[in-house]
Amino acid sequence: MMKNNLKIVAIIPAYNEEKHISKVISLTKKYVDFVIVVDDGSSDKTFDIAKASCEGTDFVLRHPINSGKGVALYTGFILAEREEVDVIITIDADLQHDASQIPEFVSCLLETKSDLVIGCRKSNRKMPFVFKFGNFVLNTTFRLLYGKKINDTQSGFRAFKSGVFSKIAWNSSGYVVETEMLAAACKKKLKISEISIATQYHDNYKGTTIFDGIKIFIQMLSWRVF
Amino acid sequence: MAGIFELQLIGAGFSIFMFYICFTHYKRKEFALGDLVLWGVLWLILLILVLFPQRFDTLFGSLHVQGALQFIILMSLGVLYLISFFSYIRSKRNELKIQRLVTEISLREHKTVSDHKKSEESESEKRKKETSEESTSYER
Repeated sequence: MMKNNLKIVAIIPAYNEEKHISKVISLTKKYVDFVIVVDDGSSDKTFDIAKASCEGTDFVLRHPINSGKGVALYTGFILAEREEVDVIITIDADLQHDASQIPEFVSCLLETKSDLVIGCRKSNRKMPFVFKFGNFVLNTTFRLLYGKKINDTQSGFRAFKSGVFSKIAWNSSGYVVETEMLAAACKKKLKISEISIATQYHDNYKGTTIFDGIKIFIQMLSWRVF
Repeated sequence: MAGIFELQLIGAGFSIFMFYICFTHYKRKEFALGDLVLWGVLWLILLILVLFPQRFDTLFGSLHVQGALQFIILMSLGVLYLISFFSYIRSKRNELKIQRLVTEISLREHKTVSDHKKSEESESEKRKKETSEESTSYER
């Protein structure tokens, strides 16, 4: 499906997501031309299940060792750029994001002529308190350091215009990557838009931890200074 | 005085033991000659300071350091910080190299599998064509 003759790809970084990966791929494929699944050295059957769920036009890559979400996204973006796509969607493999909102991302990208669109999670009762508090601190710090109000700097559901990757190419390997992208985008004065997204939390103990939050906080300071 | 002598003995023994460790690493080819000379000199300096601290009283006085022990402690701290700093830089550099390598390997592996798949598909298409040509010739 090429919306407005655009070639759209979804990058799905995955680590030990054998429970959800098949559903994420099948739901995502309805709204994009093809998917790039990057298995980040999973110890379960994520890679095999992803391969079985994908078609000939899709890409399923595997990292030889677990290297972090940042590296998985980097790999996905390198391949996406080689495929000369117009829009790149990043979506998590844990079924947290609603793939049916992908067209909203693309519409926002086109209508607002943005370089990057972030899906901002609605704060609800189901969101673990640690996430709520951590997000509040990080969002506030980001606003103070970079002068840009972003309601959810940690969301992994995003859309990128082609060519943005080369401007914001990152070095982070872990969850810090979400913030490094935004910091680089602000420094390069790229246009960032937001849309509201729904989320589901299947696993309270996966994803960003308090230590990741502290790391992100320190890194934000160092990126600003250096 | 007896206490200082025992300390000197321990310090000297430690320096000699560490020099022996460096030499072992050199024999195992884990250390280059340059590494052995560098660390050998450092352990030798420590040995001399431990055995003849009074000889350096003038030097310590000009540095406003109370004695050999304080000098050793301060120098050791400085060296530790330096080593930590360079280790940190090196580990960050290696981390980034590993990340890029992981990306490269996964992309190359995928390319190899895709190329292999494409060649398998073209081989099977070739065989199908040959089979259909044969059956056609039989029909004639």
